[in-house]
Amino acid sequence: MPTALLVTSVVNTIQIGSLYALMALGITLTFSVIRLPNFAHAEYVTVGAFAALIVSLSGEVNPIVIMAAAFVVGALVALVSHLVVFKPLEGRNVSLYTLILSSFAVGLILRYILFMIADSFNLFDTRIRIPLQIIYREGALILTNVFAWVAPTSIALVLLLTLLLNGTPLGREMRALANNISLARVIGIPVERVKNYTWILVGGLAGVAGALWGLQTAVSPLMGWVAILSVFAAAILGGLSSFSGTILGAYVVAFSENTVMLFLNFNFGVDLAYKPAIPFFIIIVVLLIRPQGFTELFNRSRDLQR
Amino acid sequence: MPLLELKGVRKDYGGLRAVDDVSLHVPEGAIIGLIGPNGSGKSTLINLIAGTTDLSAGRIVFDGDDISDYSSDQVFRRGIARGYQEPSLYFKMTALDNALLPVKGQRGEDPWYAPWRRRWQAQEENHARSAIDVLEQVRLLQHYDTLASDLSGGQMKLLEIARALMGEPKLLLLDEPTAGVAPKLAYEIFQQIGRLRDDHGITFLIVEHRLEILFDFVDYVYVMHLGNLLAEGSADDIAKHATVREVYFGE
Repeated sequence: MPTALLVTSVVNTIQIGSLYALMALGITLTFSVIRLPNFAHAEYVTVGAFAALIVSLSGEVNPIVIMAAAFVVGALVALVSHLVVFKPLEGRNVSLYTLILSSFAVGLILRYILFMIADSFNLFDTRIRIPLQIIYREGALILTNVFAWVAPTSIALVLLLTLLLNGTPLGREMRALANNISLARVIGIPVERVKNYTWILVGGLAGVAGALWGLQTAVSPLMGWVAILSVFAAAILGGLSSFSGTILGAYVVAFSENTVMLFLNFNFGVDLAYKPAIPFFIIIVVLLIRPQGFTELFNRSRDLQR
Repeated sequence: MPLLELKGVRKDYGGLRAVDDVSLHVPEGAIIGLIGPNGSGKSTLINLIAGTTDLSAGRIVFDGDDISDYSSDQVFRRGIARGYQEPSLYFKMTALDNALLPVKGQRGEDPWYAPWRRRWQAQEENHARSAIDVLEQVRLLQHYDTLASDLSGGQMKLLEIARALMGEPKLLLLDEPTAGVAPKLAYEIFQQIGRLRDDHGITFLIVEHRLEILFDFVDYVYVMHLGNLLAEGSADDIAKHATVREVYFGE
């Protein structure tokens, strides 16, 4: 495999892996704090991408404004789906399976609302518009300002979220909910409020991830859904409870999808069309060998304990 | 008017009547003992007061309010905190973090404030100072940075009490505060309880099996047997009570 290809694929791994990490942390957080494996998470990403797209079409807009719009819209949609669907269902003491199915339903509803919006305003396969600049060129490797936005922003948000969880009163309460929610109620933690805040954070960060995603590929109502399997694979690698494990998982999945896929393609002629199979393969192998994921590789004292 | 009053409280589990027509008073500032053989309904009664179990019949009045239908978090906010027979702590958090969890109105729990430390740090430091004070009162000061899982059984019980105090309760319900605790520390736990009552006017309702310690500290004792109140009176009266000795000590 030529070096130029290798370098490009590693750059892709960093870019995609950072985005996966940002999305997978949201899934880990909802799973631990809210106790819901939320498949509608995919659509919070898409909703954020569309919000960013629509804002960006209104003219020369600062990328920060685009991200902020994606955060607000993603957070709103997540909070509303909690208040309208998940919270009332929890109140009726339904089983986890019902909750998972309802998260699929919420995702489908959002996805087709987005199809309708994309259809009426002719937004299919449009990119979020920011002026493209090349910031670095060395042989075949070209780094644009898109890379400069996507990777650092995702990594910064991932770090911020980790600090928030480990170093603030909100994070302390979220960890408490993840560990033992009935005890949290009895000792006076405002459980419902902390849950709402968790949804706001999760939805907002998913929205920003969508906006960043839409900077590098075209925005489409299916984009979140297409990414969600890779993202779930990352979260499962992290054992659905460990932040550090999830981040590592995200880069492992991205590395397999990019560098390993290219390697297989170049050396063994494996068709690139098999790329979507990689996350499935990873999920199955992990569940067979290490059902607990990467969790125990890290000191868990500050993670989301179950 | 008593701080806590139970009127004809009953709890049925299917055909089983766990608590049957229990009425009792807890005056403000008192330490009240609740004793009885295993399965007599003491822990159920604590759960009923704390709102973790629903009443089948009867009323619970606390500080002038009818709290019969309150959920556990409403009961806590109204001023009743509790400790458990098995210590219920966040074992992967430090003693200090455990104590800080119940504090009301923390600015840093709001997502708009949380990312900016400057906006909540001063308040957090104040809370941490009062948490340190409380930990000192229960003799856990040198363990403030210890993970709860690394504390001894008795220290866990004390941390539960410290955490409850951080919610500024009027009444503390304790279910066997000395269960699984070494005898010397067990006596110390009751000394702390006595001190908290004397210094802070906190009222206690305590389920306890170690009568030799309990009787040194309580103002009044209720005895339960098979879901009913069997007897009540001062520690001396109960120690001499013939029926109590029969069901409790098998004499």
